[in-house]
Amino acid sequence: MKIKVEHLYYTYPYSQNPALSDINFEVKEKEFILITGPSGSGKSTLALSLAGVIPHILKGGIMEGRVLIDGVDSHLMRLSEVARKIGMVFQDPECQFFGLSVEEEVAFGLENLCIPRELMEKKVNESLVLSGLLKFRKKEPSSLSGGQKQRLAIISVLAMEPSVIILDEPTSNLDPYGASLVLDTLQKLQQTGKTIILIERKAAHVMPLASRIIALQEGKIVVDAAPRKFFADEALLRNLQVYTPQVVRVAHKLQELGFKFNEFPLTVEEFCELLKKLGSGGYATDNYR
Amino acid sequence: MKFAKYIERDSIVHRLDPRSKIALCLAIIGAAFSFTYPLFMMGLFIFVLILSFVAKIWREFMSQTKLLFSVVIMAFVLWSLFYRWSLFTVVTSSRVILQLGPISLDELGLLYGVTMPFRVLVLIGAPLLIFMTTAFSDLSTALVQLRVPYKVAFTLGLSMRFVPTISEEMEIIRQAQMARGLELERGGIVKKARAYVPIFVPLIVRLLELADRMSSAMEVRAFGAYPRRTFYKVLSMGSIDYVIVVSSSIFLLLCVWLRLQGIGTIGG
Amino acid sequence: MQPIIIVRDLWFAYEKADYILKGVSFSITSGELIAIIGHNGSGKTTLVKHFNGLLKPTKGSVFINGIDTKQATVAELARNVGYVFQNPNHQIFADTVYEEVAFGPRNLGYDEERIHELVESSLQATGLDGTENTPPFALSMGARERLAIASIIAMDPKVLVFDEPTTGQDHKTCLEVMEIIRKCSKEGKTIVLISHDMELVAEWVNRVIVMADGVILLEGSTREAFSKQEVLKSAKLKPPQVIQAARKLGLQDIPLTVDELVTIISRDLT
Repeated sequence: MKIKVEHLYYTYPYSQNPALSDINFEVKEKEFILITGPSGSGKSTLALSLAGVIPHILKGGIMEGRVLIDGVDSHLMRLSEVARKIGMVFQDPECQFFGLSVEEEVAFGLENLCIPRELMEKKVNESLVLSGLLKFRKKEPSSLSGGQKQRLAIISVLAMEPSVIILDEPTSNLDPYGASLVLDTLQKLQQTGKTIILIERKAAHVMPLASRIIALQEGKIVVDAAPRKFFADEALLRNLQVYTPQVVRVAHKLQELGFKFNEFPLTVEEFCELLKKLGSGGYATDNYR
Repeated sequence: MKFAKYIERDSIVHRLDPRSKIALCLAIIGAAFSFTYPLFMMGLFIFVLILSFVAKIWREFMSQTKLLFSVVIMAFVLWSLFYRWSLFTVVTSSRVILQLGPISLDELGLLYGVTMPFRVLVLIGAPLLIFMTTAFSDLSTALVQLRVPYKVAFTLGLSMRFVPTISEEMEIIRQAQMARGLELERGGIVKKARAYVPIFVPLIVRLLELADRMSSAMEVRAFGAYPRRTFYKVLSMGSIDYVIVVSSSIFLLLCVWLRLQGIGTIGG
Repeated sequence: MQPIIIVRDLWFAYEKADYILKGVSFSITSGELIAIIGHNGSGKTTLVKHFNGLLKPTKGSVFINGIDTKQATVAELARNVGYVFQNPNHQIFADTVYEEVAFGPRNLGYDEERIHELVESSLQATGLDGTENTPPFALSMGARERLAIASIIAMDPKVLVFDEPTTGQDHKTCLEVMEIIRKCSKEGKTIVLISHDMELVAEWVNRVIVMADGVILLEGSTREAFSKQEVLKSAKLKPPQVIQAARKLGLQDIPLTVDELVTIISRDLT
């Protein structure tokens, strides 16, 4: 399942400036793409365009260029067809539940797709077990914590078996514990071979999972690179004003002082390992285990 | 505490099919309208209370009906003193108990004054009981199985889902504005109405935002993709449900028949 | 220095005996910048809502600038304690930025001249000067967050409470908000900050109160708090990466910021 974006421009109704300008990129199978950038840079707009919400629901805006889903222009597809290939989880957990019980929320998409009941039951059970929400099945989503709500939103979308899942800042409104629940789920997802497009501002933990980071600024793609390359470029990071994990910043400063890393660290573990290997004595010695 | 919120308990009432509960509720309401007899009305209300006890929610039920207390008192006073002006009463002569200037309290008035508040309690209490013992998604499913169009039942469910959200958001907004010195307690009606503007504006903005986002969320789950849909949940009536539906129907018919025979009204 | 906030054996429950706060006691001196940290549900927000009277103690007392909160209304305490809620959209309602910021001081009964002064100075302090006639909803999310702060600063309270001021904001706005907070602190305001961003707390705040399950586990310097692993575990807090790295490397010192860790490492390597 491939998505190809060609010269995409989008301007919201009543808006002067385009939210997206000349966006070009391709999403291949099993990729884990992290899209980042400051507020207003067009991240959500891009996500909505990939998921088909633009142009099918958000009408009145000006859209140029195209989004090709498996070679077909999203304009020519019905949203329900797009929904079966590309699922989307939104930032606000409150807006993704419709007054049903937990198990019915998971089944909601399947009901809309006219999936037969026996198959639905099987899928719902599987999803609930995998996400650890089985014991909540008869309860209302409002009784779940923020992290559990987002987990529920993810499995509800996954039940429709899209090959791509887009998540628009799923952890923004969550506390660290909730955020870790979601990120665990994403990690498991990646292992099952789904293509994941994640929009996040502060995703220190996801860095090692991502195969690619796309940074947006004022509606344009300014970087499209592997995480290590992305974070190794200090000038770029400063310019983009994106959140940078602390160990990356430490590594940058140490590099300025003359220490050389043969590979750029993305996590605490990597950082410590690299320090121990650091050429000119010091950490490779007994002081540091 | 949130009004009419579903309270999860393990009771016979909770386990009943929502359709039989709807039937029971309609029968009770129908009976409340059929007769205007104090003992009967009190009996109906006591029946509803017993049901709340069987449903293991009687404490919560009592505290919610307590909110109706002022309405009940008002109904008692108005009906006992002014029943003669009502279109629904049969005006016959009656023995005066108390004379307060131009207004008199007579025996008949007292009977009305006792009956009507209980009717209010029953009319509100019976549906309240249903809402407190049935998850709204089950009621929604019940409506669909009773051949109500899916979109109608779904919209109802969606609206209900917003009720707790509205009260929660309103509370946060209220606190945020009070923390800016907003005075909500004092002042006349006009002043108070204006004081609520800083509460309603953010609330409405939030609701519009939610509505907008929800419609996107529904669409990416293929809502309305096809003219038909399949259903995950199926409610099935057990034997006790059938018993309730049948007995409720018989009871209601009996009440209507008796009423038509002229039995069960005050003064008649 | 006099304590401006005194909390004495505070117990709080919404419903009978289901206590969210269990015997909390501490005091905050005027001019301090302090953060309250702890897991979700530890009672941080519940505690802090006692400072402006939104909640009243079930048992125990809270004194703000000498006033017993049980005897004062929220509006009265608002004179002393400004509370910035987490989501600016929960308070924005006016037609223009000016009116929005003027709302608070107007409620406090100041005359128009003083209100004008207060509005202008708080718009200056939050980088919103020039937007007086802009409709608040036309502002970006980051600007709205600053607007929410401006509307509370305009009330000129002695104490400012910030409930998760950077959650959900982008990096640039986080820095802007923390700069505003630092400025307020330098001007002598007492600042109480609730945050679950440990990196932020370590970088900007010197004193913390660590809470878990309705009680205070520790009250002290940020460095002290982050050095006690058991305390952090009970409060379900994960220390910032620099401290995690320092632990893994077996360092003696606890670095609170990127610069501190860099200094330690470069010193050790040379």
